[in-house]
Amino acid sequence: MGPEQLGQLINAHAAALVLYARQWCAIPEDIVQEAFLKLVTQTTPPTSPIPWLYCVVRNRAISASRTARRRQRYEALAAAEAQPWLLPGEDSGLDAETASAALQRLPIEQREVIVAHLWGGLTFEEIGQLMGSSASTAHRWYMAGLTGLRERLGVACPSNPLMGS
Amino acid sequence: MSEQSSDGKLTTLEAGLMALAPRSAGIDRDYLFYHAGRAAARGGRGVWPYTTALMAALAVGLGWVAVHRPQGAPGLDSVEPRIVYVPIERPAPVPPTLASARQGPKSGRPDYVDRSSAREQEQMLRLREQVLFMGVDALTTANASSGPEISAGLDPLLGLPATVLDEPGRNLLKGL
Repeated sequence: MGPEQLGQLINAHAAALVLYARQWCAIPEDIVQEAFLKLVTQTTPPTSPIPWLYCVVRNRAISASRTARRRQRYEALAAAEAQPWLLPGEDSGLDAETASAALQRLPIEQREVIVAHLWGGLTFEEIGQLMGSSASTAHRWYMAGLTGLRERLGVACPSNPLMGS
Repeated sequence: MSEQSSDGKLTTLEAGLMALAPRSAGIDRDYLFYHAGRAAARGGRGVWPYTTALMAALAVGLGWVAVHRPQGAPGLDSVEPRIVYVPIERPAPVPPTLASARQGPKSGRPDYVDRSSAREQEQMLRLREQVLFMGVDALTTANASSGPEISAGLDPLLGLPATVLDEPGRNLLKGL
């Protein structure tokens, strides 16, 4: 893998991967950097590098969370929750801090699917393979997570346009 | 399957969430590129480090064997061919006994051989060896120097006793 391709991957997916790793651990940047380094050292590059990166980040983030849980559980979680996960966008009608807080309160599987699908761009088939479940299960978690966010953020359901603001 | 694929467009909530950018201030691109280059260089070395380590260990082992080899052990340069002489015992000529003389026709040997003395047999064997080693020409030269003695020895060479061939017969044989 050349430096140009690596730079494109970092520009396009590093932030989403950090957000994805943040679901489990307090050191998501280190996890993402290690995943990119592992991608570079592959003798045969993966055919789909983006799902491969998400898989590596997921495994390492879960492993790091187990280690951190034993070592500095309360400090890490407090530090992770002190900063919002999302930054304000230009065309977004949502408050970043409110959306971050609502996202953090979701169950882990719903949160993971939403992050991987919305910011990572993975399909539900790829998410299902990533999480060890079926695509329909991933979609069901995604819909449940959106419903939970909608309730917490006060966004109207698209099936009932009269309730939309 | 998804909400956005069912109605063909993103919902308001999805669009609003996607417009929010994930916070990732901790990614250091320079650090990442530097270590990616180092990792790529390390990964391209292949099996050479392992081969080098193996050869170094082999050289150290052979050196240790060469240093700690016992002094009495012969080297390759000090080995010389050794000649071993094996004595071979020749069977002594068996003198004819009375029993063998009686059983002469049964043993398949002619009568006149059994009747020859042990001295004649010994002389015959000596002449036979001389012929085998030096050839018939040497015997002829010896005949020229001492005719009667050697001519008497021709009979045993032919497997005949000395009394079988008379003087004309010997001359006829010499003519052949």
